[in-house]
Amino acid sequence: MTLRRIVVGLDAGPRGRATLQAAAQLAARMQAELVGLFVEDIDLLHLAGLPFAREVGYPSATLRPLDVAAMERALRAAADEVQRMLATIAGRGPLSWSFRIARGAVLSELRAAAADGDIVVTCAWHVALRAPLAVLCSTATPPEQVVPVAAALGRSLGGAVEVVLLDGEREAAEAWRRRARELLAQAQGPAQVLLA
Amino acid sequence: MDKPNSAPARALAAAELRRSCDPAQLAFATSDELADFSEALGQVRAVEAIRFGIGMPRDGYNLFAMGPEGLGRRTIVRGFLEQAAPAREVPPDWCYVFNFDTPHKPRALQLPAGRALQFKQSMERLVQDLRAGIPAAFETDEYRRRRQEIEAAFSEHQEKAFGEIGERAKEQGIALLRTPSGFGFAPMRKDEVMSPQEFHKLPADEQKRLEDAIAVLQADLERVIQEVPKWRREAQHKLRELNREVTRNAAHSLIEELKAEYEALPDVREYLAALEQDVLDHAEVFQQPKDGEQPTLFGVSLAHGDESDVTFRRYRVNVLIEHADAKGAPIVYEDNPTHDNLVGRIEHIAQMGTLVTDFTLIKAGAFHRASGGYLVLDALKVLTQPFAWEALKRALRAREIRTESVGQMLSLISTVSLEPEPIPLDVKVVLVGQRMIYYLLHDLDPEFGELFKVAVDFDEDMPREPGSDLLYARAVATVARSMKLRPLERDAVARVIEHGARAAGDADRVSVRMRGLADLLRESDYWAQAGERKLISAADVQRAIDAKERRSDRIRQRLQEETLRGRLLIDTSGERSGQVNGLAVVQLGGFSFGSPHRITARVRLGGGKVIDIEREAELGGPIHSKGVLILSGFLAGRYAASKPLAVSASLVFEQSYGGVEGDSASSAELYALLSALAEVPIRQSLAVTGSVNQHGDVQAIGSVNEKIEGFFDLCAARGLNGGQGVLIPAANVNNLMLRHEVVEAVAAGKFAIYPVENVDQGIEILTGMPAGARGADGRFATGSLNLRVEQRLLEYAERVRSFGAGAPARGGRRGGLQR
Repeated sequence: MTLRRIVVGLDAGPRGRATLQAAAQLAARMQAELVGLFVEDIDLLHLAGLPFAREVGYPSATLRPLDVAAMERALRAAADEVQRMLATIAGRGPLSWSFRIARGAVLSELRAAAADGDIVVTCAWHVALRAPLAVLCSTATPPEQVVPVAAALGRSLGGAVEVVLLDGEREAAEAWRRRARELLAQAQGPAQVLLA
Repeated sequence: MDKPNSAPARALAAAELRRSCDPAQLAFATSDELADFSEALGQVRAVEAIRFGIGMPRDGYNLFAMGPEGLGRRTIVRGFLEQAAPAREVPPDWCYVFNFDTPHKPRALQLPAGRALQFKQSMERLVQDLRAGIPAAFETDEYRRRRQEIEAAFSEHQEKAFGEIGERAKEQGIALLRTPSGFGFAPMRKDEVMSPQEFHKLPADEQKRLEDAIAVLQADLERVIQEVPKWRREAQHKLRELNREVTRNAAHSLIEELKAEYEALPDVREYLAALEQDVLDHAEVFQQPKDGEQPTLFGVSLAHGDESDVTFRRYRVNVLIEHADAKGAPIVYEDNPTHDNLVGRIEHIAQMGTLVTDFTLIKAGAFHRASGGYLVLDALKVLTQPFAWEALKRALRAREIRTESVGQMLSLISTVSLEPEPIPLDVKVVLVGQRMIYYLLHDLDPEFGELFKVAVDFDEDMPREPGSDLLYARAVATVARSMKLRPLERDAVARVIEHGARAAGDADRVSVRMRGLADLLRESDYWAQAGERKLISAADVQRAIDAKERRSDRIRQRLQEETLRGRLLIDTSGERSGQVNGLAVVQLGGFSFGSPHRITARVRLGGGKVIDIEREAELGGPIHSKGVLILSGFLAGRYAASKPLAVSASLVFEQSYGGVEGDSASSAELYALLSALAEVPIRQSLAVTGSVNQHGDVQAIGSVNEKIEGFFDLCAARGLNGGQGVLIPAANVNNLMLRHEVVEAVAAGKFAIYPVENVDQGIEILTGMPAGARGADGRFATGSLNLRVEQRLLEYAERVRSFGAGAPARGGRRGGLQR
């Protein structure tokens, strides 16, 4: 029961880079394909389209007007940046990898990616609510595949990892969680894995 | 008035020409039997001065050992210093360490003698321990947990603040969104952000409400974001405190241990306390990965050569001077007293094309090494090295060593350099130099007298008194032993002593120039070795003397050859008026020899002036001119006191092309002049030396032995005829230390030395005619030379008068012929 793919929700920040590195190492070790997914957040484009659209800069705390064209440019630039980052990091080892861009709501796009039976790793704040990193999967992906991935990521990043199970049939989800807990109890090492 | 004519001079007996050293008086067979003579031979005055100078503890009592080269000044001074040094205590060690307050002014640390190296090692060990101990402290679970707590508190604080705003927004149907470079608020419909189209479909009131609500939220968010840096600073401060605390826990005990070791040294404890603070301030340096990448600039390593870690240089100890194995005070002889070699220097290393330095590159100078003891310097070298003399005086005056480069001292260089803390200086300086330097410095440098109060004046010779020959013999034995030469036979020692007297140019004195003595002994030893003898014999000594002379006498020989071939005109027989053999001394490369010169005088009617042709041709020196001018005074005083001196005379050293100086030929010139005036010939078999005063007294001259021998050698080469000899001043008889050949020739009646007290004695010997004294009537005796001279001068004066009477119209000129 080998893992086919690891999907990484890409983010250009330092945490995003660390996540990508850890996922790339893991993928190489497990001989899985690495898929970089960049979501152009539709919410941001909506925001930018509002007549009074403003952005409060962080950490400068200055108020700036926003418009759609600028937001499009910013998202394109971010996409280019993460693609370059992916190429650099994935190119270091013998690893098959690909990159794709999706436009929509971040959470839905990531869920959609996970619904295909893959594991989605992301540090997006929309998903990782209780920990710096989240692993997104459906009940279609057996816990035997998910738990070791989450534990390995937690160990290599030195923090907690939240496992988010997509809504499925209630019984199947319960069974999945039980099995995952058992696996966690057996797991070695200091990794902190939170089951949602 | 000049002295009356005295008794005729008698020739000296052979025994008076040389004061031999009788080997029978030397009570030993070979020099090996003699005990060592460790004192300074014949330097009583100098030794007293050295003892005083060394013993005097006050400032300014530094010594200047003066005298000509080859006396053994350095050896003698060193001998006394070596006696005095062990009794004094060993001076302290000095180190330079980093100054944590003002890094460009390194601190000087004083440690008890021999402890500097130990301190350096202790510090190296401490740094090693800190480099191991501090990272270990940062790797503990305790530290990690406390650090996470601080970080978590900060993010919680931040998230809580953002969360509150997000909640408030949600309540009003508004979403908080993260944009690529900040945050934005957008109205929501259900769980999604409202698209612009949907927003425009809203009633105007609702649109207005949302816009206002968003404006309020934006203002709140701005306030929160403005707070974030403050929270971060607080967190960082807490983290720094934590790091300090952890570092302190790791470092404190190590440093305290070292402090306890140096309990008695407050300066060291103070330094260690400053070091501890610095370690706490730079804890991160100790946490750097040891095998990480070297710092680079454009790909070039910034590391110091083999130093893998530049950061820890500041905790090093630069041991400037240490006395671990020393016994007593140091004695330093600085052979190359440049400014930097005296005060020390600050070296630089090239780094990325610039020169950088730090306290570890300060190097000690002679002052550092000699502080607490003695420093021996060559005066001439100090004076010829740029700024060295100034540096020496400044250090002695200020009693401290300030290490700075010449460029810094003159403010020529303004790049950042070091100003090391001055180190106290307590040193006794001995300058060794020529007398001339001492007198010049005394005259020209007002500070000199203040700083060098003790003049150590070395003598060139010592008196030959009863017992002194034996002392000299012991000195000879000591020198021979110290140079591992063969022992000398008794006769050889006697010959060495005689040579010493000859070198002193005085039968009653003996030279104490130790270099000359050592050379003679070495060379004698060589000849003894060549002859496969176990002892140095008198013949070896004589051979050494002769060989040395032979090596240097090419010019003397050529001069004699030229004379014998008749190209240099010197007569050694016959008679001629107005011509006499004078004697000059030639000094070339430490070898001097006498050389006869023909001196001639011509006289005629004139204005009372004796023309010194040497002077006119600018070949004569001032002392020679003075001697010639004295002759006019003598002539006028003795022969023309009441009449005009109506003679014009010219004097010349014939065939002299190289210049004449000194007045030792003035008596010879006077004899030539008297002979010319009296028209009485002079015996050319005689030569003359001696200066003369206005009364006609013959006065002492130098190098009498060389002069006599110079004439003797020429006569001997032509064949001694029994009538040859030399007239010398009677005052020089004590200086006679002539060669054996001369003494033997005199003994055999083939050569004669006449000591002469005044001109009359001399002229009688030279002309064979009585000089003649003035009788009761004031007239010179009939048939005397003086009468002839007087008559000749009277005749000239009469002629001048008759010229004057014959030409009255030319008016008022009296007393001389006008040219």
